[in-house]
Amino acid sequence: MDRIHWIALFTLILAGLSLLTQPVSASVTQSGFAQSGAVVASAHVAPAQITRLSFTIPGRVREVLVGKGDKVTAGQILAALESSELDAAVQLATANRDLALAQWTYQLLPRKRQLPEDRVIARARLDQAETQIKISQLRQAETILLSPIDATVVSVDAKPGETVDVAQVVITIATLDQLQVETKDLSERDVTKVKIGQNATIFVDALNAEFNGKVTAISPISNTIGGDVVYKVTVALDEQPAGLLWGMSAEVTIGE
Amino acid sequence: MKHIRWIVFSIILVFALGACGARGKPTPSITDVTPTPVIEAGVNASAVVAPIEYVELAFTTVGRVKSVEVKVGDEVSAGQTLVQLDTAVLEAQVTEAEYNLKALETQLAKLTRNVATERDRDIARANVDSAQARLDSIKAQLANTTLVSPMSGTVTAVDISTGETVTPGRVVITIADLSTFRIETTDLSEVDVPKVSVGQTATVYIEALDMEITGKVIEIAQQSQTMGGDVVFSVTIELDEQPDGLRWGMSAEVHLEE
Repeated sequence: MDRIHWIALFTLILAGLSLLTQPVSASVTQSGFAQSGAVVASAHVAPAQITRLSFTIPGRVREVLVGKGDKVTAGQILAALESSELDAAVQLATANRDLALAQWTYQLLPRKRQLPEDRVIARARLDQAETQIKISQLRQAETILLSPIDATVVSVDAKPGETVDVAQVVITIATLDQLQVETKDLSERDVTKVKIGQNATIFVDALNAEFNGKVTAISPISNTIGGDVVYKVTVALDEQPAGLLWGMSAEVTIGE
Repeated sequence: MKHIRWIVFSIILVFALGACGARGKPTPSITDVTPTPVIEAGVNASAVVAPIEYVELAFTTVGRVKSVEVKVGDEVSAGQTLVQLDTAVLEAQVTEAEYNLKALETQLAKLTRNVATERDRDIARANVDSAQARLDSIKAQLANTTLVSPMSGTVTAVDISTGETVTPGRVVITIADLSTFRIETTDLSEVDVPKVSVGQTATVYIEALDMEITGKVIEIAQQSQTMGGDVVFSVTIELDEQPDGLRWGMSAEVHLEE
């Protein structure tokens, strides 16, 4: 008897498992979608990262060291503002430090009527003057624009001699070696079938070739295109095909 | 069943539009309308799915972004750091202000011990207070270089990257509570709004999910908006249940029973 029970239980588990292996197709038919689970959408090729660089202070551009198309590395100097005022501030801070140092040295000399507070004050003033040099140097460094990442310069919007304001975009860089595909017209009905990590195939018109990729992001906010509610879905390419360029059109098929 | 119901609703909608005297758009279903005048009570409106709460976050200061700690889709909790600005200058200014305070405090201590006039001591005391205030002010500015999430939720937009410059008020991150969605009507007209009351039962059809959910009116806008020349009022509906797959911005059709 026991053995029969166990066999029955085992069969039930197997049946249960076999049901579990096909829930996707089951739910699709249930909700009444006639077509297969695949979602097709128009898309375009875009860099994974676009960074718009600007200065944190206003000023006049002294030099621009890169041009459109140049490859840059993290930490590379891209452009600089004129810094004469800030250079002078560093010199002033240095002179003040020398004065504070002289006063501190004077306090170290053995004298009559020496107050311990005077020595503490002189030391604090010297430390303060040292810090003021550091501040002036950091301010001076704000006239230099560095690249935060390895990327390619895609736009230069300032020339030497021009004045730029705080946060006015001067140089735009993008990771052109990390291109991805972003859908433009994936509808609200289709978005319900898309999951992060899902496999996708990408047909690039210009290259007349198909590539493999994976869904990496689904926008939580909708856009509207011609009255339709659409969601941007981002697909990362498994490998970067030669000849692929920013802006190329693509057709993305997600799922089966 | 659902389909029949919705066909009836759309017929009512067409009639309602006609009754409004609106220049009726050439809807193809007009020809399908049965001649029997439907005086059934109720209001129909188009609507969108919206989160119960969302915030658009910006800095109050100018600065260079040192790191962006989140990406779109991340879950965040209240108080979590989202974006950090470069703080090198402000940190140096804190140190500088601390040395300044130390010098002035020592000066005051010296005058308290020393033979000095009350006026000299008052001046020294004022100097200490002023230095302390400057230190506090810089520390407060330092706190403004960290953008923290004011609520738990999901990152729905990130409009900033490392190395970029932020300015006061420029929205850099949007956080929304996507655990609870509501429905907000987009074209409920001024003619229909008197028939709507808070607490009224609503039937909501979510097109993308092909699903009907019940809910309740929780808010009626006090101020109108205009939509294509029509005066409309936004009516907010709380859903009785939150179906899976619901997304911000999805289209919905709302039917309010009288």
